[in-house]
Amino acid sequence: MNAVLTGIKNEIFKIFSKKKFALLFLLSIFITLSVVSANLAADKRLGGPILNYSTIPVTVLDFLTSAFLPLFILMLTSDLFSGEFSDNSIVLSLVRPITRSKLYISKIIAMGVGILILLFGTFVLSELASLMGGNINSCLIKLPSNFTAYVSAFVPMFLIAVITAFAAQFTKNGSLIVVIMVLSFIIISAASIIFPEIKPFVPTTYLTWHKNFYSNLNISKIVNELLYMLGYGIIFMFTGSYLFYRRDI
Amino acid sequence: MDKILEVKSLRKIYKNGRGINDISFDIYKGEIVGLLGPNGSGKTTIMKSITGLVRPNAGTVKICGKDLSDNFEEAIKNVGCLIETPSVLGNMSCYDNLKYISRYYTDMDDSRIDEVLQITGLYPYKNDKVKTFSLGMKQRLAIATAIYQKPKLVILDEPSNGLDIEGTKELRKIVSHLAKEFMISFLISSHQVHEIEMLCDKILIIQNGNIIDFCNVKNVKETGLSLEDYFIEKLSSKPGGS
Repeated sequence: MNAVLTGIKNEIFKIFSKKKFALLFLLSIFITLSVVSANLAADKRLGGPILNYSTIPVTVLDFLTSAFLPLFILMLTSDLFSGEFSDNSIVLSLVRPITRSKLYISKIIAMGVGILILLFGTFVLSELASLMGGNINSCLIKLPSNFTAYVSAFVPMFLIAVITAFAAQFTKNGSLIVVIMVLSFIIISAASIIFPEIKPFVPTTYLTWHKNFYSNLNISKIVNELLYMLGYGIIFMFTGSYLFYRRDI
Repeated sequence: MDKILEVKSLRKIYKNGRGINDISFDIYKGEIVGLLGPNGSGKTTIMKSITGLVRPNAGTVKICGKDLSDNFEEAIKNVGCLIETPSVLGNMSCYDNLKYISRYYTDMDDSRIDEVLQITGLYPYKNDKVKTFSLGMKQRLAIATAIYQKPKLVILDEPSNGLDIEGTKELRKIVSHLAKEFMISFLISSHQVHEIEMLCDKILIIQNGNIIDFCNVKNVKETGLSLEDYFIEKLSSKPGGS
């Protein structure tokens, strides 16, 4: 357990030292400020805001989770695996008192912590921005559902990290992994439009799982989709961990 | 004397048919063993198998009596290594690289970081980003990470690669000092026979993935042959030798 905790601490330290992570955080600040500025400008010139201020947090979340956050998760995760294999820095961790399975788990959990911190930071920032509209009551009413949406957005984003880590076991080229993952996403999404019957079985369907928490809660749908994600997570986690364990350096 | 490394019937064959076969040898406390062999003879594969970087097809590796495959964490605690290119984190400072590995060794305090930086001559560059370092400086940092935990066995694969003449001499001094003062054992591979001759107590000659000789440097010198001539003679006396 101590080795896993040390591994997590080290991998978080590594993620935070990457420019990509800082860039993603700056991007989420930029998106939030852009949405608020556009709303304030519309409020002043058109006589009313484009968006209800209390919905700014979920608008920012939708925008982030539609492309930016998944893309950055792909890049950061491939850096932690393929990137380290290609520049040989993985050896620095592999010859330490931590087994490969524990190191793999540490890396995945560290990615999870990174995603949580990003989502939480964006949530706080967007909530503060929504208060700029002046209607504190409506913001406070929406606060619990907004918070639930941000927490639930973690699950599909974390699944992306788990699947990317699995894919990263096949090559040392980090950029190639990002390209393969983006292409796979496009192909799978297109296939699920052409053949709607496969939609429940492909992981891309559940990337917008957090939207289930915006309006009336459909518990059976939420649980059903969560179980699908959990299933995919377990399969990719264990297969990825096994491939990492077997891999020769 | 205490047995630090015990390698028994080690076998690793890659998909291309090359690799190592039936490798067995022991290293005792404070011994410096040199690994000599032509390119592609299997020196790095032996070192990678001992550190768990490749999975052998057969055989056992015991470090301080602990089996590497059954008790990896306990066994690897006693090993420091530098294999092929220096493995360092380029976007971090020299200090942060050592801080990174130090978290795995709870029995060491942070003053050890400064100590190894002093030993390897990197102390003035403590806060510099590693990506700005020359190959020689990265090599020094990799040596610092290899000796940080005061290991009982240090494995160095071509350690003088990228080091200048002064750096190579300094490295020899560090190795001799650690072996004599702290009784640390070393397994060192090098293409420079002269370097091995000056540094090592024993040599292990590898050809085509097999051990063809394991001898004392002192005994070789007593035959009147230079280590270089002895090495060439051994290689050519085996079938398939050069």
